[in-house]
Amino acid sequence: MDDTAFIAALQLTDSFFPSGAVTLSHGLETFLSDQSTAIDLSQLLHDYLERKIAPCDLVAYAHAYQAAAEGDVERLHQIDRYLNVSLLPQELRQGSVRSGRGTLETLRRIVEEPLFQTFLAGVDAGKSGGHLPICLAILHSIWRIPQHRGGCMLLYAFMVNFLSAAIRLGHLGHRQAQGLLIHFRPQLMPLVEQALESQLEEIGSFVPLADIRAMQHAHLSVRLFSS
Amino acid sequence: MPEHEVSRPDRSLDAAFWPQSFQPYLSDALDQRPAGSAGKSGACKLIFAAAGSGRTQLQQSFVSHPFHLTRPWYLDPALPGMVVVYVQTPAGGLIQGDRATLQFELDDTTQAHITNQAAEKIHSMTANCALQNVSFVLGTGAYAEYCPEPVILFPHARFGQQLNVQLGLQASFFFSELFLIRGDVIQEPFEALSTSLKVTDATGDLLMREHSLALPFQQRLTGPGVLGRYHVWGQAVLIGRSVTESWAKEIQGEIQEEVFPDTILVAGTTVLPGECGVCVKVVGTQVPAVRRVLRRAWHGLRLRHLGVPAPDLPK
Repeated sequence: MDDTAFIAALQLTDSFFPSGAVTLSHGLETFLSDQSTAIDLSQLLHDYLERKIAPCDLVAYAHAYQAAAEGDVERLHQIDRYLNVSLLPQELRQGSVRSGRGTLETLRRIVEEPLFQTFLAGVDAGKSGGHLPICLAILHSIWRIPQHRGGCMLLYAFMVNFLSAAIRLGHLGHRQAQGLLIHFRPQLMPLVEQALESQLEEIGSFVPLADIRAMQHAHLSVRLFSS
Repeated sequence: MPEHEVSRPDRSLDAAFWPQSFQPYLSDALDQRPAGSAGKSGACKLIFAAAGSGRTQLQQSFVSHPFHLTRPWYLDPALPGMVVVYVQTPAGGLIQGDRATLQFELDDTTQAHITNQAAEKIHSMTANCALQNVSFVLGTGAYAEYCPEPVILFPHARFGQQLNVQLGLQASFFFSELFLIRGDVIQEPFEALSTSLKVTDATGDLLMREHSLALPFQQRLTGPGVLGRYHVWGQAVLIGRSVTESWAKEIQGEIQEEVFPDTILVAGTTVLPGECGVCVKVVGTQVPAVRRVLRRAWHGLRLRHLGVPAPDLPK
């Protein structure tokens, strides 16, 4: 990865980038609102990473990156629609689209590359929703961030998001969060390598509790996050 | 027909999509008769058509071992034209090398409820795996319910299941499923479970899809995001009609009412992609409690979708 790509990677992964992902807890808020069960955040983050984000979002990302590298916009919309019908809890679907569109909107008048603008026009026209992993794959490809590094960025950004939600919900300290980020470092690349070998049809997850908590979130009477 | 043709194993199901982790099972030879051979390859193919009386009739059927069919019944007083079919399996469950195909075709405006007589055991396996493919093709305005009894996963069972649904214009589909682990979840879980659900509309576009892969010996099931302390899980889905967000909210409330303080379970309700249906997921420690939630979901969705309650079907 050359220096310019490295700096682009920093910019996209930084929580300063206004994608809107900061409003999402991915169901964590419901987990933590249930006082009857003590939750081990490290184990829960592990389940989310290994069982949900990697086999779902990351596989969509990997295929979208390939399509972006080939300049195949129709395929990008197809993968985007495929991910949309695969995300069953409504708030997870909406959250993924909201942060994807947030990313597109932020760069609408800045990034002129035809691939980006054509995909954006397609999303505007309703060809597909604009899920975050697809939008990131396009930008990573345009800015020459290698696919496996980009995959790590996606997982890392998810972890930061999840842990920052846990901090704001008062269940984690900043130092513990940094400790977990270090703890999970060696686990990211094997997950990326596995996702890069997966077929699109394998997109899916077996996390009944995480799905249920994400579904319940929509019905919480008081909530801080939008998922 | 020459003998070799009769005994040639039917491996057509193996060629369908299965996750990469199932590929070694598919090519795994059995010490007994080969996978998919006679006696290990069952089919139940039914075609339903509308009769002049307004009833849905079983027009054609092809049923081979281990499946068996009772006569079609009409058991729902609120939907007197809906045919109720019990697909029986006297074999006592699926074992390694079994391949089962269930195909249901519903003509325009027909209504059918498909179920089985008892829970389906997926037995312990040391070689190959068991595969089941269920498909529905629904004509314009048709409505099908597919509500099989629980699937019991024995220690070291390997089971792959696909459910594919093709909806015609204004057709709709309800299904519920329930899985439970027999034996110790940590010490003796099943070995592999792949389930997938795919629903397409009249134009062939995907309305929803789901693929779940669980490999408990590689990834523990007791994680807080997976099954935690539960070992029974299930879902109920209504798809094919446009719903509002309030449906999910109301049904979530009805389920909460159904959950008594002594029952330990967690359930969630959501609106499906494109607002084309509702999905209810539940995990618990007891089959009766989880069943009660799924039945309540069925009842609530039926009332909203068809204006009729869920019937009590004899078993």
